[in-house]
Amino acid sequence: MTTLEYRENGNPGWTACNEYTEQQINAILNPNKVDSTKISVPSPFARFDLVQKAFSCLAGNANGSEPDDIKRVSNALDMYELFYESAGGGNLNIVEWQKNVAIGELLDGKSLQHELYGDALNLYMGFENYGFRGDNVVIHIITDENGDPIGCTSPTSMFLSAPEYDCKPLDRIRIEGDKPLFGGPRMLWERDNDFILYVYRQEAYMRGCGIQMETLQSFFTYLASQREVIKTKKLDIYRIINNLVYGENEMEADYERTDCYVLGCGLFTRRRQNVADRIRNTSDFTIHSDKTNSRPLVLTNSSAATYNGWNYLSETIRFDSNEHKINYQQIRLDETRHKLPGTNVDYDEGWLCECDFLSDVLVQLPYPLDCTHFFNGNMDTPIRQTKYYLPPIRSKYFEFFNVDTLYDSQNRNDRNGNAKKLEIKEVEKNGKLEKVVVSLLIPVSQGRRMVKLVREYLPGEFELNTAGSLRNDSAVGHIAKCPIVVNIFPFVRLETNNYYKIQMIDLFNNGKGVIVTMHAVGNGEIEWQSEYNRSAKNTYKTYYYALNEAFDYLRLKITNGQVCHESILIPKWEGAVDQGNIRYKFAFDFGTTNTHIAVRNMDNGEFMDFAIGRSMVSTFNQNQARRNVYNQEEQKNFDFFEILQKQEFVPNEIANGAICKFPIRTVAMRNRNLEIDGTVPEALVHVNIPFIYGIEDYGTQENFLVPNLKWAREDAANKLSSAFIEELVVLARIFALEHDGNLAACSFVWTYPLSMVSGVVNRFNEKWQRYFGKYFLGKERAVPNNCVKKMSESIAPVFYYMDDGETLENMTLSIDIGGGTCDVVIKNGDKISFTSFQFAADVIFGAGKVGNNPMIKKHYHSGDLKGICEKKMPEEAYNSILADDSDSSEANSFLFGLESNPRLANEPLERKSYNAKLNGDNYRKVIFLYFYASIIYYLTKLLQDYRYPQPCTFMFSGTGSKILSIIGNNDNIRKYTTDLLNLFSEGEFKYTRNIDILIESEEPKQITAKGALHEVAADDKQDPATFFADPDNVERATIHYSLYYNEDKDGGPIPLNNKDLKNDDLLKNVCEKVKAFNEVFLNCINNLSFEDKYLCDKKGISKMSEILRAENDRLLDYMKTEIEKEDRVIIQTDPQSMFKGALFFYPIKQLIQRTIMPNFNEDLAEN
Amino acid sequence: MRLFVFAIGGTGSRVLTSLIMMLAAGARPKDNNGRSINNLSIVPIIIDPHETNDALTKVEELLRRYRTMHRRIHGDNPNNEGYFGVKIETLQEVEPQRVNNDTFFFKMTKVSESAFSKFIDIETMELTNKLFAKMLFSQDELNTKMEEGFYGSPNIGCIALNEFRKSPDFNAFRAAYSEGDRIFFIGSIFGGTGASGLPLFISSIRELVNLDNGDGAADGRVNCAEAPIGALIVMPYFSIANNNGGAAGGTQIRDSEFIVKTKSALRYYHSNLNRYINRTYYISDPKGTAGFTYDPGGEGQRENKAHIVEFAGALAMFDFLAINDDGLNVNNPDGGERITAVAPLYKSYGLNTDDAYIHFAGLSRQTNRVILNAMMGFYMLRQFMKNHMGDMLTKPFANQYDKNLTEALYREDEITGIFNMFDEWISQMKAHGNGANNLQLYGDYSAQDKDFSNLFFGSPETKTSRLLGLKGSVKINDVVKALNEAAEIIGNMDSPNNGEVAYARWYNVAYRAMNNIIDNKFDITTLIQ
Repeated sequence: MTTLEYRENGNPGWTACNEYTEQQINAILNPNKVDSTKISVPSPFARFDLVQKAFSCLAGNANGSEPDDIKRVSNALDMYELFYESAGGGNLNIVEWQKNVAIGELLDGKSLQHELYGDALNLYMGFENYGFRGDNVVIHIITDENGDPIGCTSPTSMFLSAPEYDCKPLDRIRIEGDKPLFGGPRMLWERDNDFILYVYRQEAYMRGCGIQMETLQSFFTYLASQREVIKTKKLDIYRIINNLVYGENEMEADYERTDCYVLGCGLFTRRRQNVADRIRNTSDFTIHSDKTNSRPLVLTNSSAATYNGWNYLSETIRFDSNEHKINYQQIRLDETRHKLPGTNVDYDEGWLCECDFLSDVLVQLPYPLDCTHFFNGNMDTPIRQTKYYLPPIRSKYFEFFNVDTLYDSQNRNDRNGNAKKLEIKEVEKNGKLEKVVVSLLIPVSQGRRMVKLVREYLPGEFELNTAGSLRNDSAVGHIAKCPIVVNIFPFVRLETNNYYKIQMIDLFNNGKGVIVTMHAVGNGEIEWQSEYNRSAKNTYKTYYYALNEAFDYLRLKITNGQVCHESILIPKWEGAVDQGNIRYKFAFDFGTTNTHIAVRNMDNGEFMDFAIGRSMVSTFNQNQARRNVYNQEEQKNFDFFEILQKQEFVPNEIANGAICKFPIRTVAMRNRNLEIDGTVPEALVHVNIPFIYGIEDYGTQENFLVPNLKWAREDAANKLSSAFIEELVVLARIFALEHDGNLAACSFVWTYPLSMVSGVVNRFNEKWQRYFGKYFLGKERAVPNNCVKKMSESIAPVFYYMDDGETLENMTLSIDIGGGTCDVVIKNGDKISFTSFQFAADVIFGAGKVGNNPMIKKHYHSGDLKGICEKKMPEEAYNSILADDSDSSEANSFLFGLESNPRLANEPLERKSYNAKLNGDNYRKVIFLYFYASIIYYLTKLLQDYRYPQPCTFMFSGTGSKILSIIGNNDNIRKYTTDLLNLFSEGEFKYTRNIDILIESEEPKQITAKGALHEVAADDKQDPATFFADPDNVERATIHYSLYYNEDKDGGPIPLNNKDLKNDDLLKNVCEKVKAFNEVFLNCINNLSFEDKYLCDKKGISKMSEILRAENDRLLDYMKTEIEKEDRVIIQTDPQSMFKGALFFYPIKQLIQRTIMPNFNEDLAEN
Repeated sequence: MRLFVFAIGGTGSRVLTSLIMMLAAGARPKDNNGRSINNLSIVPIIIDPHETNDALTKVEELLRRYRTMHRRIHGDNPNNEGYFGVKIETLQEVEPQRVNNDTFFFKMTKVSESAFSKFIDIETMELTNKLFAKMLFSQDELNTKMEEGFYGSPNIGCIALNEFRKSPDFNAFRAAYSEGDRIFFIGSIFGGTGASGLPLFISSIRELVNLDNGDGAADGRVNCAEAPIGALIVMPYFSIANNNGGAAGGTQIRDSEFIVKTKSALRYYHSNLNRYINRTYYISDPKGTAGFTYDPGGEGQRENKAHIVEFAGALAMFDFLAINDDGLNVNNPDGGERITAVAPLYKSYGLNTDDAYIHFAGLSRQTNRVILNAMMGFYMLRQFMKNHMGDMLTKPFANQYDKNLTEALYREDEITGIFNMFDEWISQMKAHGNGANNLQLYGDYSAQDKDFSNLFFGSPETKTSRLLGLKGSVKINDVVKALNEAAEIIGNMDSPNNGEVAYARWYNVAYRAMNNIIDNKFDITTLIQ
C-alpha cells in the first residue's frame, strides 16, 4: 500500500493517486500467508466475487497466490468435477434457486426480516456484476444426503463450494474415484484427463453459444493459463484442447445433457456409460467370465495390500488397500452396490465381494460325506476328518462361472494348472476347531489375474438371523451344523433321457421356523418336475424331488423367510455315460398280493436275477460313519438317515440275498397327509414301494400302506397303483443302466388276470406304456407296440414250463392261484382256453381282522413266530401288521414271508415257516382241503360241460399255491386231486394212476413273470404268446363258466349277464350246485379218509361238517352278500353285458371265512 | 451547504473524532480558492451496530459537547470564524418532522437483537432461499451476534446495515439533502461494518432515482442520487494485541487476515463501487501499529489509541470540500439504474518526513494551511485555561465579568470535557512507539511551566523550533498581554452578567489572542506555503 508514507520527491498531503486496480492490488504483499475463513467483500455475493477473483489471481500468478485463492479455485474445480461425474446430474441432489421466484418470496411482505434480506440481495444484484442482473438467473444448488448445500453453479466461476468447506474436506463424497471432495488443493492440470478435456470442451461450447459471459472471464483466463501448464505436463491432452472447436452437436454426442445452466448456457456431464466402459476396459478387478457380458468388479479387504497398484478405476486410479476398503457392514444396506468402495464412482455393473460369492453360513454336515460321489470343496484339515462342509458358494458365483470351475472331474487343479479355485480349510486350536477358512479364487482382468476371496467361519450356536453378522473390515460367517442328507437316485448321468429322484432328509433344528429348500442347477436353475414335503414332523422332515433332466449341482437354501443362506452340493458326475448295448426284457407280474419283476438278456436269452445297487447314492457315507467315533445324538441321527431312506425312498441294494428283493408285497407307501385329490402321486416323490415292509421299521408313524392296488376301484388307489408301476419301471430302468443295457432296445411284458375286465387291462397297459416311454425312450417319443406287451397271468406259467423243458401232456391245466384270482389255462393239445375266477388265497388268508383271526392268533401269538420276530426284528417292522385291527391278509402275508425274511436267515425253517405251522394245524386242515376241493369241483364240471378230455397234468403257480403244501406233500396232492376228479366227474374221469402235479414251490410267484418272458420269433404270429397278447383273442378263448343250465342240462352251461344277478331263481339254482358240492365233500371226508391220509383232526372235521350242513340253508344269503361287493355301477348300467364272475364260489367264500372266524373255534380254545 | 458524513463502524467514529477536534480548534474548510466555505454545516450520521463501541460513545459525547459550544459561541451561524466555528447538526435538526431522536447515532434495533441467521430469519425461509443463504454465508457468519459488530464479515454487514437504508432516518437524510450539499463516507475495509456500509449506502444513494420507500417523499431523490460523493477508505493501520494471527484467543478477528481482506475489498470496490464515488481517499499505515484491542468493541476498544491515520483521514473531508462543484459531476450515460461519477479521482495521503514522530513539519503544507494555526492556538488555549486562567481572573481580559461567572466559564463541563478528550487524543496519537507513525504536534507542559516557548517542541526527534520560526520566547505574560489586547479590541460587554454572551466573548477574545501570538511570535511561512 502506498498511503501514509514519506514522499521524498512527491507531494505530501491528500494528492492524486491511481485507483487500486487488479494490478495494484496484486502487488500488495501479504506478510501473513493464512487461510482465511472470512471474506472482506462487502457484498452478500462475496463468495462469488472471491472465487472469481481467486481464478483471476491464479491465472496471473499461481505461485504468488494466497492460500485462500488456491483453495477456492480447487474447491470450485472439485464441485465442477463432481458435477461432471454425476451422469446427467442424476447422482446429485440439486435444488434450483430461481432469482425472480426466490426474491419474490422474500419480498412477499410476510416477514420483515426476509424483506430486508431480499431487498439487500436485490440491491446488490443490481449494481454488482456477478451475473445476477438478469431476470432469469438460476443457481443450481447441490446438497449432500442431509440436504445441506455443498456447492452450487456460479456465474463467476461455473461452480463454487459452500462456505463450510473452505477449510475442510468432505470425506464421504469422492471425485475422480477416490479423492475426497475439497481435499485439494489441485489445479486443473492435475485432474483427471477426461475432466480436463471436458472443461475445455464445455468452455468452447459456451463461447460458441453467443451468450454474454463477462463474469466468467477470470475463469476463462484461468483455463488459458492452465492450458500452458498442460502443454508441459500432458502434451497429449494439450494437443486435443488446443484450438478446440466444440459445438452443441459434439457435446451431445460425447456427453450427457443436464437441466442445469450457467449464464443460460446448458451444462453437460459425462455419460454414466462412459464411466462404466472405462472401468470395464481398464480395471484389473473386472471379473472374467465367459458366461455373461456383465463385468462387475471383484473386491476384497482380505490380503488387500496384495492388490495395491492394480488398476482400480482406470490406469491412473490405482488400488490402495488403505483407501479402498470395503465396509462389510454397510454393504448390507446397499443392494445395488454401485458405488465403488472408497470412491464416489457409481459403476452400473456394481462390485462383488466375499458376501456375494460365499454365503454367510457354512453348512457343516455332522457326518462323513461320501467323497467318492460328492465334491468336498478340497477340504484340508489337521483334525481327523469326521465332519464335512458343503461349499458355501452362492448363486451369484454361477452367474459368472460353471460348476466345473470349482470342481474338475479329472482331478486337476484347474484348466490352467493353477491353484484350486475353492478350498475349505479347518483351523484348530488346542485340538479343537477354531474356525474354517474358505477361500475362493475369482479370475479377473481378462483371466490374467486372480482375486482371492477369503471368508472365515466361526463355530458356535447357529442363529439364522445373526449368522451373517459381519465385521466392518472383514466378511466373517458362522458354521451351522446341518444334519441334512441328500440321496440321489440314480447317480448316473446320460447324454440324454435323464431322470432323477432325490430325497432330502432334514434333521435340522426346525423349531425355529427354519426351512431348508433344495434346487437343482444345470444350465440355470431347473424346475423340479415335482417336489413334495412328505414328512414334516418337528424332529425331521423329508423332501422329495423329481427331475427330468441332468443337473450339475444342487443348491441348498436355509431360510426363515427373511434371511437365506446358500450352499451347494456338487455330485462328481463322471461326465455323461454312454448306454450299453444289451437288450433287456422285463416282465412284471403285478399281482394282487405280491409283485415280481423278471428280467432276461434278450441277446443271450439268459434269465437274470433282478439286482441293482450302484445307483442309489447318499451324501451320508454309512460305512465311514460306522467306523468313526460319534456321539450318541449323531449316532441316532445316522440311524435315522438310513431308515428314512429305506422307508420312503429306495434301499441301497435290491437283490436276491439282500434285505430288499423281489418279489415284493404289492403295497404302496404314502404319508398320511398326502392329499391325493388334486395330486398325481409320483413314485419316489409322493409314494414309494416299501421294500423293507415286514422286514424292518417301515415307518408306520408317518406313513401307511395302501394294499389292493391291483383291483382298486377308487381313484385314489388307482393313482397309487400308477405310482407303484412307475417305481417298478424306474427300477427296471436302473437295472438296465447298471447292466449295460440299451434303454431304447429294452421291452416290457406285463401280466394280467383273465378276470380283469378289458377296460381295466387297457388302462393298465396305458400306464405301462407311458412309463416305458418316459423312462426308457424319453418322454417325447411314442412307444412302439412291441416294446410293451401284456400277457395273461394264466398262460404265462405255461410258457414258463415250456421254456423250462417240461413236456406237457396233451390235456394240461395250469392253475395259477393268486391272492385274488385263480387263472386257469386249459391246454388241450394246441388248443388253449382260459378261465378265471375270483377265488384264491385271500379267501382263507384275507378273512377279517387279525384280532378276530384264531388262525393267526394261534400260530403267531401262541407259537414260535412271535418269539422269533421279537428276537430278530424291530417291533416297528411287524407290530402294526399284526395288530388286532390289521387286515388278516397283511398279517398272513407277513407270516408267510418270515420263511424268506433275511433277518431270520439263520433260524431253522420249521421255526419260522408259517406254512409248516399251518401244515401241522390238523384242526384247520380240512378248511384247506375244502378250499382246494371247491376249485377242483368247479374245474371238473367245466371240463365236463365243455367236453374236454380228462386232464393229465395240473401245473400250479401263484402265491396261493402254497396252500397245496399245507394240504400235504406232492403225492398227497396228486392222490387227493385224482380222487376229487374221479368223484366230481361222477366217474367220467377215470385214472389209472394219479395225475401229474407240477408245483413251483420255490418260486411260485416268479414263474408267471418268467413265463411272460417267453421268447418268440418276432414274426411268429401263431405262437400263443403272440396270439394271446391280444386281449380279444384271450377273451374269445375264455370260458366264463356259470354252472347254470337252462332247464336241460344237455343244453350246456349258459353264460350269465349282469342282470342275472337279480334273478333269485337263477341264484338259487347255483346255490343248489354248491349244496351238491358240499354234500359230495362231506362224503369225501370219510370216503377219502381225511383223518388218516391228510391227518385232519376229528374236531376240525366235525366242526367243518357241522357248518356245511348248518349253513346250507343260508347259501343264497351268502351269495347275495358277495354279489353286494360287485361293482354295482357296472351291473346296473350294463345289465346285458356278460357277467364274468363265478357265482359258484360266492357262497363258498362265505363258508370258508366262517371256518376261519372264531365261531369255528369257540369250543376249541386250545386251538 | 451541508456535508453529510456517514461515519461507519469504529473507524468511522474515530476519524470523525479527529475531524471534530480540528473543527473545535477552529480549523475551517476552505474552497478551492482558499476561502472559508460559507454556510457550511456538517451532519454526521454514525452507523454502527455495536452500540457499546467505545469510540462510538466517545464521539457521540464529543459531538454533543461540540454542538453546545458552537451554539454558545456562534449562535445559529452555520459557519463562523473561531473555535467550534462549523455548525454540526443532527438529522433531527435538519428534518425534525421525519426524525424522532436528536442523535448523531442511528440505532439499529434489529441488528442489536440477535445472530445474523435470526436477523434474516433463515429458518422460515423457503427451502431454495435457505439453501442459497447457506451458500452465501458460512455457519460462523450465520451465528454472528451482530450487536457486537460484524466481526470483520462485511458480507453479512451489508445485509444487516440495510436496516438503515430502509429506515425513516434514511428518508430524512434523503429529504434533507439539497442540491449543492455533499456526502462523505468514512469506513475501514479490512473489518466488517465499515466495509459493508460503504457499498451499501453509496450504491443506495446512487440508485435513489429508483428508490421508493413508500413515504411519498420523492422530492430529494434525483438530487441525492446525483450528489457529489467522497469516501475515505481506511486500510489496515494497526494490529490486534495478543492475537498472534488469530490462532488463539478465540477472537473472530485476525489481523493476519487484514491484508487478504483488504485486497478482496479493494478488488470489489474496483469492480463494483468506485465508479459511483467522485473522490476516493485511500489511507493506511503500512507500518502498522501494534497492540490494538480487537474490534468487537466493548471494554477493549477503550484502550485503542487515536492514530495519525484517523487524523489524516479527517483531513480528507477538508480536501473534498475544497473541490469545485465542477470537479464532482455525475451522469447516467447508459440510462441505467444508477448514477455514476464523472472522472472519479483517487487520492492518497503522504507525509513530509519518514520520522517516527510526525510534527507539523512532517505534515504537508496543504495540511498545515488547514489546521496549523488552529491546532497551535487551541493547544495554547487549552494549556492556558487549564493551568493559568484561574490566576488571571483579575486581568483586564477577564475583569469585565462577574468573578463567579469567569470561574464558571473556564471550569464548566462542556469545555473541560472537550479539553480532556483533546488531551487524550493528542497524547494517544504520539504514543504508538518507535516502530510506527506517531503524530506528535505538541510538547509536554505542566502547570508550573509558564513558558509557552516549548509548547510545540516536545520530542527530541522533532526539531521544529526553526521551522516554526519562534521569535524569542512566549511567556505567560505574552499570552495575557495578547488576551488583554484582544479583549480591548472586541470591546466591553453590554451585559457583563449574561453568561451566554460571556462565553461567546471569551472565546472570541481567546481565538483572536492566540492567533495574534502565532502571528507575532512564530514564522510558519515555510510550513504553509
